[in-house]
Order: sequence, then structure tokens, then C-alpha cells
Amino acid sequence: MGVTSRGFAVLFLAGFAAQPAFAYKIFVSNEKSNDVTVLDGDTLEVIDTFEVGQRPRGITVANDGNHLLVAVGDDDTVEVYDTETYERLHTLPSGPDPELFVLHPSGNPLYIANEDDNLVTVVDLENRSMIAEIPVGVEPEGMGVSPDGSVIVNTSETTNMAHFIDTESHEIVANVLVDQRPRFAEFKSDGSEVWVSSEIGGTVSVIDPATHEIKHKIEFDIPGLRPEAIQPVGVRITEDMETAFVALGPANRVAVVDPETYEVLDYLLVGQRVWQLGFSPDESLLFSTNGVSNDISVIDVEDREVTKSVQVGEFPWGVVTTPD
Amino acid sequence: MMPARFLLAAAFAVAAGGAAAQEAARLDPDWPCVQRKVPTLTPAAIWTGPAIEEAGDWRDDEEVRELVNLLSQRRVPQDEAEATIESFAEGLPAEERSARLTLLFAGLFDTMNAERSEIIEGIERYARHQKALVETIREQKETVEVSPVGTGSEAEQQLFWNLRIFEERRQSLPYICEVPRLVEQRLFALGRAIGTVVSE
Repeated sequence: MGVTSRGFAVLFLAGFAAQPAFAYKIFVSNEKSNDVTVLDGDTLEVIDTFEVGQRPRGITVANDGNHLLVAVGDDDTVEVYDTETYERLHTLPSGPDPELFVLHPSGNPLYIANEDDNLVTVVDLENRSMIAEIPVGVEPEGMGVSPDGSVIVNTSETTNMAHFIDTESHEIVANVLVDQRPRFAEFKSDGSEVWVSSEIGGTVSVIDPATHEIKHKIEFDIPGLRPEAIQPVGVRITEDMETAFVALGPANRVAVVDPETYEVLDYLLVGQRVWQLGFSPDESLLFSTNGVSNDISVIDVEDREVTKSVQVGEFPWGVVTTPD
Repeated sequence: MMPARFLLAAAFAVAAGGAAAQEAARLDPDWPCVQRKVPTLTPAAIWTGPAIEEAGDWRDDEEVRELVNLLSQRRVPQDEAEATIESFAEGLPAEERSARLTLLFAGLFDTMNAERSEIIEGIERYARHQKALVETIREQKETVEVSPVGTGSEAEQQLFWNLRIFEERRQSLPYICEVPRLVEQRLFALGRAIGTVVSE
């Protein structure tokens, strides 16, 4: 009897040990319904929705996955939420109309693009203070950070530039002219390239951060679609640099690109007006926010297939997951 | 009763429009919505299945014609519509499946794209009426003496009603401007549902 009980206990514990301690969560900011949708990373089902400030767009996870940062542009602040309880903990001094931000690889500080004020604001997350305001071009939006944290790249939508900013001096060290309306900047994991998408130009510029020169421009062509319907916005490159994905806005597709040859391998039909992308923690899945169909699409990274779409709030904009 | 003076100021302010409306007006003076005017949709933005141009005429297939008529109606809930598509697909012999599902999408695309274009034309007519009304109000304002309490002549009453009609139409504009997008949303969701069963 005792042995049997122990046997059950061992089996019971072994069963638990086989499961991950916590599933990761997926957070989606909904620009129009002013809320955040929470999905379970295992079931990919909506488990919660909570209200946030006005016009939430940029979204990221900080403090080892315990804090969710949401840029609420119409409230001129960045809100910080608990990723377990969804309680609003505090706000950060973001500067006016924060749209998109990026966290330093060390976890602090936060670099925020202020769309209406032509600034990048640097904020210390620990003491919640503004460290610097860096003047950049008109309508700053895209924010990328080099893997070693030494450089941030901000794109300005109207000036059509990628500004390279030294994170020590907070000075612009180079400006690279790209195609019209640059929206997003993404570094390769080895820091050898930064990819900048141009929404109206319809291209992705591959820039060498050492020379600040454009080494290649990726172009897109979808039979049956007018070129102006192809509007690249979100860009994600896997850590192993095997695959890159580019969200193409009203083309309703995500392009799959070979990061070595820059060849477009496939176009995946996702949802309407796809803007931003985010990986699952193990990068086996990619999530796209589809602003007009009000859903997210789930893409299997290895198979390059859309496996599911899930309805979220109105005008989903940004997506991020907690770490495993 | 809202003072005519206030409504008049509001009408002219609205006629001037916000930055987004001004930008839209620059592109097309008859287009009153913040949303960009896209007169017609392209199948390639919705559909990755077999070419619909080669699918034949969907109107010749009675079952498809009836389904198009049913599914294109926005009052049919999306879940119900998708279930109907699945059950139609299940009932098809394997050799007909791809062709008839493509025919179904072709029918939905034709029907809903035409409906959406009619709505867009309707919005433009609506905007032209509003513009004409502003002109009428402007002329009336030059000839009508507005009394402080707003209870004056028949001409003043007419001005008041014109202002009121303008204001009420203006308030409903954001909802009207959303309608093309609702049709587009539904067409995309139906296309995606058909695309899924075509590839199964």
C-alpha cells in the first residue's frame, strides 16, 4: 500500500515535472478599443482583456517578464502593468505622444520615440526619471537597438531617415536616408546589419551599422496587387538568422525572407492590414497583429505556414510575449 | 433649442474639417471620411487560391448562387457563415471541391465588392449634399436676421432646421464611413474560411 502510494506520488510529481512551470503569455495592444488582450502561449486562446490608457500602441515586457510596458500615445505616457495581476503599477515620464519604444539589452533604460515632438526620450526604469531627450527627424517611430546595446536606431517617418544614436553620449552619429516613411528598425542578432522598413517606399533597407551604408534593398512583388498596396512595416529576424519576416500592411501578407541572400521565399496571407510582429520565446511561432480584421495570426516559423487566427480587440497594433 | 448662431459656427468649422479630413479632401474633394478611399478591392489582397478569372461564371451554379446570396448578408453571423462554408465543402466530391469553392469565393467577391463600391458612391453623394447644404446655409445667413432667442421668422426657422439637419448628418458620418470597412472585413473572413477548406 505504502509502495503504491509512493509510486503514485512519484508518477504525479513526474507528470508535473514534464510540464513547463508557467506557460508564457502573449500581450496584444488594441489601438482603438484602448485595451490589451492576453493569450495563453500553450492554448493560443484569449484568457483575459484589461483596459489601459488611450491609444495603446508600442508594447514590451521588462523586469524579467514581470512588467508590461504600454505606450498610450493620447495620454502622453507609458504605463507599467503587472504581467500576472494586470494591475497598473505606475507610469513613466515618456514625453508627448509615445508610439514605439525599445528596451536596452541589459533591461534598462527604455528608448521612446515621441511622434509629435520629434524626440527620442531616454527613461530610467528603476527611478522612473528621464535621462535625456534626443532631437531627431520629423515623426520619429521605429526603434531598434544593437545587440551589444551601444547603438540605437530611430526612424523618422517624414524625414525618411534612420538616425544612429550612440547610447553613451546620446548623440546622433549618423543619418542614413532610406525610402519613404520608414517605420521599423531590426538588428540581426550578431549586430552585422540593421533592417529598416519603408512603408510608402515599399522596401526594406539593409544597412551596415559599421559603415552606415545601405548594402541592399529588399523589394516585394505580389502578383495581382498594385505596388502601393505593399507597405512594409514590422520586421523580425530569428536569433539564428535563418529566417526573416516582414509585415506588408494592406497586402495582408507577411513576407518570408532569407536573411543571407535577401531573397523573398514566400508570402503568407495573414489578416487585414498587418503591421507588427512578435516571436514566441522559443521562436517556433510568430504572431502578427492584423489591424482591420481585428485578429492576430499565428505563423509556424519552421513550416512557414499560418496555423491559426485569433480575434482580439479593435485595431490590434503591437504584440509581445513574456519569457518562458 | 440650440442657438442658431452656435450651430452655424459649428457647421462652418466642420466644413473646414480636421487635418486628416483635409488630407483626404486633397486627394478627392467629394470624399468626407478619414479612412482612405479605396474604390474597389483586389482579389489578390484576400485570396491565394486558384485564379477566380478561370473559375467560370458563378451565376450558372445554382447552389453557389444561393450560398453567395446568403453569405454576403451581414446579418448572417460570421460563425454561422463559416460553418455553412465548411458543410458545403464537406458535401463536395473531391474532384469538384477546389473548382466550386473557388466559384463560391468568386461570387462573394463580385457581390460584396459591388456592394462596397455602391456604399462608397453613396458616401460621396452624402458628402455632396452636405456641401450644398453648407452653401444654402451660408446664403440664408446673409439674408436672415437671427433673433437672440431663436423664435423669429419662417426664414429663421428654415435656417435653424437646415443647421440641425447638417449637424445630425455630420454626427452620423463616422459610422457611415465605417461601412465599407465592415464589408471588407466580412469578405476577407469569408475568403479566408474558403481558402482554408480549399487547401485541406
